[in-house]
Amino acid sequence: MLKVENLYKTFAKNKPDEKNIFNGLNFCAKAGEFITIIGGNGAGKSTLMNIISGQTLPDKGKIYVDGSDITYTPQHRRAKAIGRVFQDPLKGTAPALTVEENLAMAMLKNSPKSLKFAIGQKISDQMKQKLSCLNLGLQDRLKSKVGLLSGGQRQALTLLMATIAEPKVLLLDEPTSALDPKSQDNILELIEKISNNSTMITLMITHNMEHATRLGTRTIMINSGKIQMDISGSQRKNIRPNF
Amino acid sequence: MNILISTITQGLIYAILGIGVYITFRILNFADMTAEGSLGLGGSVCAVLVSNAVNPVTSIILAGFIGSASGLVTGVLHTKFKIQPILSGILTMIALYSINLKIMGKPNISLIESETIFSSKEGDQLINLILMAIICLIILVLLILFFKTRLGLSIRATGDNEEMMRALGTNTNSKKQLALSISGGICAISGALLSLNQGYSDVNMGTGTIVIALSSIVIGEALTCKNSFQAKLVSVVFGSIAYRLIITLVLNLGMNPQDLKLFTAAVAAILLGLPNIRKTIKRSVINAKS
Ligand SMILES: Nc1ncnc2c1ncn2[C@@H]1O[C@H](COP(=O)(O)OP(=O)(O)O)[C@@H](O)[C@H]1O
Ligand SMILES: [Mg+2]
Repeated sequence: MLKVENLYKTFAKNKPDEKNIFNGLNFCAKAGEFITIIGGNGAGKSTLMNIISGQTLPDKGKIYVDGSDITYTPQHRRAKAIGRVFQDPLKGTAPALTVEENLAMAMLKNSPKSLKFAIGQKISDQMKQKLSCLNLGLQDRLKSKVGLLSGGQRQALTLLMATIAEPKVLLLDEPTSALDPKSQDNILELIEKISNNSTMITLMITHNMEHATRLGTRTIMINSGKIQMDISGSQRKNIRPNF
Repeated sequence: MNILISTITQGLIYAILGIGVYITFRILNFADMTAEGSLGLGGSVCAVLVSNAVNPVTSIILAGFIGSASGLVTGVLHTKFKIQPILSGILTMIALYSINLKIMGKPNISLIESETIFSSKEGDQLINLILMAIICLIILVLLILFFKTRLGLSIRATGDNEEMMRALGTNTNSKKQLALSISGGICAISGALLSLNQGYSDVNMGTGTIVIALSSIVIGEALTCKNSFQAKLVSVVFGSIAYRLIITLVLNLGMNPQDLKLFTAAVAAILLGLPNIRKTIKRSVINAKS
């Protein structure tokens, strides 16, 4: 379970460019839930994900994952429970490293960074199997530098890397908005495949209303620092957001 | 012939410095100036030990460990004090000047009377070369293996995309500290070997060496067409040797040694800028056509 409790955040407090983002935001997601998040530009959607992932600290309020308070847990430590995909496909992978080196880092997320070799036959076989699920032929390009891949391929790899260690929460910040239509469909399909039948909680920010209502089981809208709308099930088809 | 052999030997010694700098500049993406101080530190520590009749091999290894502490200082300045990379390195480098002077107790120490790993006899220069080649090879093999481990790979990944590694649950600060320590240790080993080879240690021996190391790296990159991590690391060694050969050549052609640093800096600037200069020219050619 993911619980965000009474969240307050203001950027540049007491400065001329003070920016109030959250005023007591509350919400709760159950295991297995897939929630799409909508809201106007600057509403604080990305900030919410930054606070959940630990990149930004809140002014007030608490974040709980499965009952434990992670509000002030350092980012790298809470990352074990959290997978993340950014809007920019270049952000989620290391371009100078090969496909297998990138994947190895993701698969070893929860293992100590010891002096064992990072890549062996066993892990290699696992990688090939996981990569073939992406249907992009990356299983034959294990030794290619990731910098040589297309944006769509990199985003698919990022998605795989974010979920391969089975996090409790998956944060997707406009994962498709920088991609061409064909790659968009491919990524959305992957997201559905990965989140289906999983206990992982998925949060996806999107600007595309069709995506927001087609994917997932629940849609929330952030506005003026609070959750302005929270709908589940068949009602979602009738959403007419006014942002 | 002898000049050629001793030039290559020197190239191999500076290659180790180049490898140390490669770890910070290229692998970690950290513009680190500590190297100049670490080189001097290694030279100072080794000279003091060897002149007090400590076994030279032990001295080199000790110099390496002390050198890695200097890298760690830069790492802490950057990760804990949040000082930007270039400034963290400069602070350590400046501090090391005084520290190196304190360690030696005077501006320079002669090792003419002491036993080093190198032979100073006329006919033994080839042996010195082979010895240095073996040391370089050992360092290269150890590093290539290290950067294939989970720990080593996580350092490379941190340098390449720190935000990704944080999202993947890595304490990137500790990875940076470790990489800077390794670099500091390697630079100090280079300094120790340098003092043993030239028969003295001088408090100024580090000055300007960062440019030598960078030149070696870019010459090496220009020499190799392979793109793999190992190939790039190995290329630093050949870059360093090529650099030494160029310097020896221009000095023999009559260049004033006082102009050497200007020459070195100019060569490094051109080599570092070459890929971009090429792009600019290409673009203006395309623009002119269209
Ligand atoms: N680190 C920061 N410092 C100051 N202002 C910020 C910071 N991060 C975000 N903001 C501001 O907060 C507002 C909300 O940003 P964001 O969460 O990215 O909105 P969105 O809902 O579009 O994702 C924006 O106006 C942005 O400029
Ligand atoms: Mg955003």
